[in-house]
Amino acid sequence: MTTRDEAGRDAARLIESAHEGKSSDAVGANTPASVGRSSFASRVAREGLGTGAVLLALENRATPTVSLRGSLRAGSYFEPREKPGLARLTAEMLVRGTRRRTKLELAGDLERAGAELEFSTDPFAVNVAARCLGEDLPALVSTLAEALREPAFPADELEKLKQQQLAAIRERQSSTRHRAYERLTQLTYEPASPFYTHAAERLVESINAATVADLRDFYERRYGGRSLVAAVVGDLKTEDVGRQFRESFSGFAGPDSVEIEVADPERREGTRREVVTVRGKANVDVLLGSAAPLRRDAADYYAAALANSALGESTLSSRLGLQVRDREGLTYGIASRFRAPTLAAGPWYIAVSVNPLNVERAISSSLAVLRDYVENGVGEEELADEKSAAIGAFKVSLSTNAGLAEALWNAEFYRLGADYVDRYPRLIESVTREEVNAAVRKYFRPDHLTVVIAGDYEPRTAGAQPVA
Amino acid sequence: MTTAINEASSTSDAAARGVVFVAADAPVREFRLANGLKVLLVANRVAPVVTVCVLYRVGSRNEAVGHTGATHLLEHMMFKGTPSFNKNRNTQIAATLQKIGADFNATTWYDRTNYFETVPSDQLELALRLEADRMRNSLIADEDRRSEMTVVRNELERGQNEPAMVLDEAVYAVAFREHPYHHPTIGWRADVENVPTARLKAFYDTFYHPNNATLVVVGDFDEGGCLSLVENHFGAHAATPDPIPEVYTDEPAQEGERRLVVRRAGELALVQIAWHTPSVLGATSVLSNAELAERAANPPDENDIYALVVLAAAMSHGVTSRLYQALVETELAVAVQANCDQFRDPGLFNAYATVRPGVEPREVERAILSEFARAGGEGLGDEETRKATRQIVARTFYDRDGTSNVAAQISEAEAVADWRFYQTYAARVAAVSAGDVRRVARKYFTEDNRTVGYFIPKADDGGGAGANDA
Repeated sequence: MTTRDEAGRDAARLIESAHEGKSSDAVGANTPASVGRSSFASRVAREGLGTGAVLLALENRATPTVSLRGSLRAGSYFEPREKPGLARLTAEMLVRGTRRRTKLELAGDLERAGAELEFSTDPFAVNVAARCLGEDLPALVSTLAEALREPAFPADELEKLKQQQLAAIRERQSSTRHRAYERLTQLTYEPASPFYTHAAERLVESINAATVADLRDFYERRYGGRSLVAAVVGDLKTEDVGRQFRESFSGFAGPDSVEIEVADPERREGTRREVVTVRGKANVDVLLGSAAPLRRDAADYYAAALANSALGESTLSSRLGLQVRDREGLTYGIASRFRAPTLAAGPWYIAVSVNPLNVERAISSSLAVLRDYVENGVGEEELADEKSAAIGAFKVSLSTNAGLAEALWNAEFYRLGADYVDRYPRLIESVTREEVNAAVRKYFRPDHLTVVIAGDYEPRTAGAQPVA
Repeated sequence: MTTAINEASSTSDAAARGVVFVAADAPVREFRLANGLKVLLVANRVAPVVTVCVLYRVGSRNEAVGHTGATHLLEHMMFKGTPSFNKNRNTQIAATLQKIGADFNATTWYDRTNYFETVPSDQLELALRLEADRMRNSLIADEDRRSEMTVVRNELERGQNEPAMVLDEAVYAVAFREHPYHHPTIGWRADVENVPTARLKAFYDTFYHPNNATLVVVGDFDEGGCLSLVENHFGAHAATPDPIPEVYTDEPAQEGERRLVVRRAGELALVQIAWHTPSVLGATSVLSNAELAERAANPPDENDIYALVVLAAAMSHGVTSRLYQALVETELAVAVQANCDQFRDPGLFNAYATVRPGVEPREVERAILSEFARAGGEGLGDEETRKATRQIVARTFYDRDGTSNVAAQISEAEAVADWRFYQTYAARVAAVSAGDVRRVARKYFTEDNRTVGYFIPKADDGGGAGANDA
């Protein structure tokens, strides 16, 4: 980010320094992700900012850029039950005007620097993703603080944002993927659950009714530095970043509580299926899922992750991928995943896209793979491969500023410890085959799944179809 | 840039066996094998990983009716195995890569096909061995083609679910009447379903050769050791005895506005307007491989593509951009985008808008055209031009974060020009002036040169979605 006078600085200088930065010699002294040379944790500067906020900073001069990943706990879990969508509206209004700058001024200052700052929400957090050239980091940090601490919530901007969100909700109604997930969560969770997806009509009604006063009230009650986590990686000096954050965020106090208490739902017994009709679509999206009592801090988290990866992490090489895609050619994409093993337990599901004529075959084939897996468990060699895959993929994920920032943020947000990145390979290696097989039996229950089929699909004999 | 042979001092072993140092411009170092394989190395020891990317100069521009989509279907077949890597030996390609934690895939586009994997750096040889093997030894069995065809058809169907993709496909098919950018890379449905295995095999035997490929290696490796591995594994293949077939079908100048409407299930109307533009190297006709190499090595001082890219950024990057202000802020549209193709052959500059419910697409079209007329009339201000160039330069560096991104960017440059395009891109963009942008806005954004497409949601389809127990 720059002032107007600085905007015309010589781009050639920047380009030249970028080329210097990318030579291997220039980064020799700073090899943040070189696991094994010295501990990762020792190169990360972790600093408490006094209000509960935590900053993590890491130098990496491979490119002249900086990635920032952050969050605070003000997601949809915290919004009033009768006002779904309020947390998201509030987060997206943060960059639409502050007490110091209008939306246009704020965007202009960011855009003149080529910097990017985005807020989004999930069930528990407001997430921040930002990037800039290294020299613009001080301005980015102060803009982040301004957006978080001094939003103005101008009424005309709220009206425009509402119209955009309403159009986006309407657009999503023709997305088979979205419709399948929406319905799966409605069939699996109570409306009060953070994982329940509200029907479009309910969201439209709530967003239409939202006022500036609602946003201000939510902001006053839920925003503050107490749960702020920020990870900054790239072309920076850790001591400078620390100073900038201390200056920008000092006194950013509150809220009183950021605690989260969510009861995991009782698991449904038996199979249920539903068709969501979306006319005129060539592809059908199918989900086979259930609530899964897996939280990020669960003792069997790594066993469950490995159990799932062997089943369906990769469309190309997992059990599901090899059978349903590679052997039978039924789908371009099939995968299984725990959607949100976070501060509470979200759903687990198999997702498969398919031609309308192949829906039944794809469901049967997926269930057969799942049944065989639950019955026979993971193989010894298969588990060794999954472990090696997990450790290798983790290393690969640490090769970019954005990947490093995400890893640091993740370790702090879930309180995994500063040395989590160093410990990860050992955590994976120490999981036993018995633990994985216990997780397979605990989380994957082929006779207790909800099946949602979204698309232009007519069941041959409504109400009488077996699911296996 | 230097071309002295002593640049390759650390590669003497490999050089003795036929690896020739060609050129270097930090951080890229270019070598060539005796069989014609171009090798680009970029050392980057930020993380203990290395990315291997093999780029083949064959894409959907090399296809014609009857085998549209063949390049892409063949790309899928390249994961089906070789005599060394296959399911029967428990060495299936994807599983082999997955178990070492590789981040891998392959993609096909108009001008090229690429295969890439980022692996822990101690697995470099495996990645090179695998890619060298499938360059010439892929099985391409009929049985595999049958099951993979339905996989690809489902990929096509997924695309057909997206209104924006449907409209884009329709606009390209109308804007390009003769040049093969006319058809989508995934191909026409009937061709995907019916292309014979023998045709795919012929495609493979025509285009998958070392002298039609560039190998890019980026990451944590020792140069001499890496070149030895490259020579060991790729050096075994011979160059083709015959020249690689050329594309020569030029798109004639458009002589009048073209319009189209797609009516299909959906919720929001879309408007897309496209204008013909030059190739990435500023050419206005299709170049042979030799002509392209010559032009890439000696790029013209005058190349409108850079000013067009800056115009695209000024039009749609961010809240302050012109289309955002003229369409989103005024609540005619809920989203806008502008993009200039950077292809090997002359492409299109596209403006896209998602129409706000209740607004007529014609009104959105008028507002878009008015902004381009303004860009050609009063032009952009100096500060506005600097903002746009800065945004592109910054994004260029964001896009080069990490070994896989660097390899991807270099491989894209190789597909449309050569790696020098990657090297000079940011500087060339930064040199664009407000006058350059005004000139290209007047030159290309004419009525006769444009194609206008609307996506209109069908009232009785899509909108009435509901749930029912089955």
